[in-house]
Amino acid sequence: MEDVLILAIETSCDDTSIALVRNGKEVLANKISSQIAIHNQTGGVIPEIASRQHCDNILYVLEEVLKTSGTKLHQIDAVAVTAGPGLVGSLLVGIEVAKTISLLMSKPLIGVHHIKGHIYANYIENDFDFPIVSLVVSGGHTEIVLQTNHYEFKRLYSTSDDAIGECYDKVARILNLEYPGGPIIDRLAKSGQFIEDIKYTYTKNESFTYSGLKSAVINYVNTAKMKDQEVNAADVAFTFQEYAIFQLLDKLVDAINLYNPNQVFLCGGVAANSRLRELVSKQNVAVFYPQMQYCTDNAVMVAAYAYFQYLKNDFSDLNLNANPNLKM
Amino acid sequence: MNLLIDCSKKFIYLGLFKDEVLIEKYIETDGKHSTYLISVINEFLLDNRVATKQLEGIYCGIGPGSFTGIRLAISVSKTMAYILQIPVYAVSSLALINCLKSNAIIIDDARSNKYYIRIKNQDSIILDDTIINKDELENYVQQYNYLVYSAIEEHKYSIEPSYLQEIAILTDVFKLTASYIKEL
Repeated sequence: MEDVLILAIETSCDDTSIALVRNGKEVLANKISSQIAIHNQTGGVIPEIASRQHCDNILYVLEEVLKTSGTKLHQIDAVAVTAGPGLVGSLLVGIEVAKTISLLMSKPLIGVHHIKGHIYANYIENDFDFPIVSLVVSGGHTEIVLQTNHYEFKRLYSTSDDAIGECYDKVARILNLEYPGGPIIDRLAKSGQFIEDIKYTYTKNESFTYSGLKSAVINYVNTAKMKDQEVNAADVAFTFQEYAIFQLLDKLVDAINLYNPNQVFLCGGVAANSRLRELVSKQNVAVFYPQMQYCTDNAVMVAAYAYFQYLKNDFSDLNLNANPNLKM
Repeated sequence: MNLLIDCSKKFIYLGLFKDEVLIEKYIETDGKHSTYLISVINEFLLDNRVATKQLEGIYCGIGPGSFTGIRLAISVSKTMAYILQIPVYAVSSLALINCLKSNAIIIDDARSNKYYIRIKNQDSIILDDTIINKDELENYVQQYNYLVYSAIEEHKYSIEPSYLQEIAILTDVFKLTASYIKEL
């Protein structure tokens, strides 16, 4: 089979990322311009600011990718871009640049679903053995997806309110910790103890839910502050994380028992969570997760799934638009 | 041949010009500029039998106006200029409303009872794009006895290519950025 070289663009949230990937696996270049320092000041992503940053940064990122890999645009076989879900203003910057490249270079355009990208971050280092159950957990997503082949995705569970990563960010914010909240809470939790006074009861239902847990933690911290009591951040982190991760595991175990997958993938930024990895590794199933740099948003994963779309001639026309609620 | 792109208003504006000849197109998109921008650029060039290789410069309306629209025009303009290795020029989207060598007060709606304004005479720009309230606008209108051109009422641009080239700013393609004017 002939080689397929894909240039992929990912701007669904706050990172401007462009990558060049051969056959969905071989990474020729991968650049990310992160906005963490900017969004750290606000404790989260402000969509208009994120869009402005993408617009200012994207050409620098493209130039770096082409330069470091010694590639000319005419050498690519297709240009891929995240079409959704995500922040519409951010998605649009990547999409317009991708469409311009497609038009001027006469290359096929491939609109990629962001969640499929997260799952295919695993393809870089592993071959797929279906059926596969993927847990996609990040600042914007909390989902469990079942796949029986490369082209059929069934969403088993999603969140009815906040995404788990978003909840980590909000808890970090009330504890005056840095953005993003995930890594720092995970680290603090290692030395924390369970707080009985964080009143939260997990009720099992069809969806993930994180707003109740978030409120319980915020209430606990605010009440303590009001009473002038010291808040032990490590203990809060530990208690929050136990509840947050338990919910993931509960549904993941259900999915494993129901569908008996050959592989389980942990994907998205929260896949880096040490407690999640520890608990999932105890399950009697083959568990995989991407390298850290491919867990968080990146264009390599977009190129990885775009490769499979390319093989099926699943191309988009020049009227491709951002779809913040794109269905899988 | 030069291409002018502006998406700051409710229509997409495309212009092709060389010397004093200007071909224009206004495209209504029902709020879907992002969907159609690339397709309409493609059609516009095809209709006028201009190959992208024949383009010598890209002129981009950088605002003020719709934040999303401005970013569309900038993303496309700089990617085009980068690929074609041609110069890119930044143009005030407000200036396009009366892009002629004449006296004018140009205004546009900035919402929340505010206005974008630009004042110029035949020789120079007296007040560069800024945002003001209604009282300030009335003061300016009294102070300068110039005709007022308002994008709120007039939905067409008046462009003289020579004047456009005079006010356009040659910009490093990587540094082409929006003129949002309005603070967040």
